[in-house]
Amino acid sequence: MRYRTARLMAVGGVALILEVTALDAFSWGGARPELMLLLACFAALFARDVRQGVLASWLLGLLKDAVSAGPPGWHALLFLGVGAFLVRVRQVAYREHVATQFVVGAFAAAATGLCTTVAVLITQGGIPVGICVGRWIASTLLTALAAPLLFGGMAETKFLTQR
Amino acid sequence: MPARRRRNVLPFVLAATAVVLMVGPQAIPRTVRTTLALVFVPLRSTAWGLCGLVQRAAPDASADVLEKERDYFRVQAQEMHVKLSEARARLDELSGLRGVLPDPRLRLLPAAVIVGADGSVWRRTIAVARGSAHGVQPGQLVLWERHVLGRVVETGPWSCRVQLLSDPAFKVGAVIVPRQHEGAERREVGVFEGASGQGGVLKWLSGDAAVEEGALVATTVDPERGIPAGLILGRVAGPSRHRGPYPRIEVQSIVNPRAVENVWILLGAQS
Repeated sequence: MRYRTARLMAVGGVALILEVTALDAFSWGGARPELMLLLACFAALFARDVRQGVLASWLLGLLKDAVSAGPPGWHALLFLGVGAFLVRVRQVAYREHVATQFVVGAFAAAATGLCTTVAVLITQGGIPVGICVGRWIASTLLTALAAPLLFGGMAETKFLTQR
Repeated sequence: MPARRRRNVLPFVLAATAVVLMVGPQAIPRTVRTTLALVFVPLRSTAWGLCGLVQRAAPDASADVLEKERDYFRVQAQEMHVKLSEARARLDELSGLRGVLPDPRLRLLPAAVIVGADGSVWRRTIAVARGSAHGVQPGQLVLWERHVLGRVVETGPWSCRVQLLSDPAFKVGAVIVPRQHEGAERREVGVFEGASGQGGVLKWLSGDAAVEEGALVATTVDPERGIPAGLILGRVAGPSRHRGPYPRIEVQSIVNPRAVENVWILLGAQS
């Protein structure tokens, strides 16, 4: 399947709203599924070419930066890194398989979560180790579990692909 | 060939742009994104409208049960209100909270919450619908009644971002208000820091500081940052489990920021 970048951004806007409203209300230990990150993974895995993959990932990160207190551009950089990696390894991964999607979600959430945790610890101050580790694991798990559901739903929707 | 080169260069261009955004002048991007939070205003009002419609459309078969429940809770609420009034009066006497805002320069500005969460799970911020056009400036405290909710960190013309007290970057001088007046001969000032959870940690008290579970933690006066004394930060959640000369006391926030719809911004805190 191939998607259109502008429509993916529209879906990203809805996902962002969901992330800071409904999903935050049902967060588990402060952790919640990273929908925007999963969309960036989707954008990289199912891109027409490298260019579209990295651009869509970067734009989704920038969208997430709009509702975050961190420095503007931080999520854009992280999502770009994840997207650039995935868009290159997608040739050797069976991206339609649920297990692949689970692993991709877990890898992306673990990598970005670790980077963000370290950055927050360095720039903002101390978070207790228990909270750090617990939330990192919970966020990774929730995002990994949500990945096959989101990818499956995205593959089924005609909105992204129709002309 | 040129297309291939362009494809290879693009990730680096995007990465460089992101880095410039991060390390470059922050005023414009921060103002833009704080203003973008206003997009949530119609969404929020639509959500509230839908909630109201659903409540009105609910079947009234259980109306009797609901009425009984309402009466019961009303009585409970009245009893709690009386107890709360007594507790407040006692607290005022003990901790001198009465006259918290003696400085006539300090004014309170009501504001509606428009985004109740941060995009990152590691940060704790909300966006409210008041900005620099209303006199809001970074550094001003945000309150809910006498409870500190956080501090303004970014302002747009009509909206601002508030760093909640559970955010790891939130720091303020604080004291433990003893529950038993007897024996409280001196108060030790510590530093309250957000812990990205449900509250924060009170640090830098001496090892022999009296710590009572459930005791209130309040702000100390900080004239430089315009913070008045006696605003409530939270409640002591338990004794320190930190090994070291200085205890680290866990402080639980009393107010749930997710449930708050309106806040007060303490204007004039920044002189």
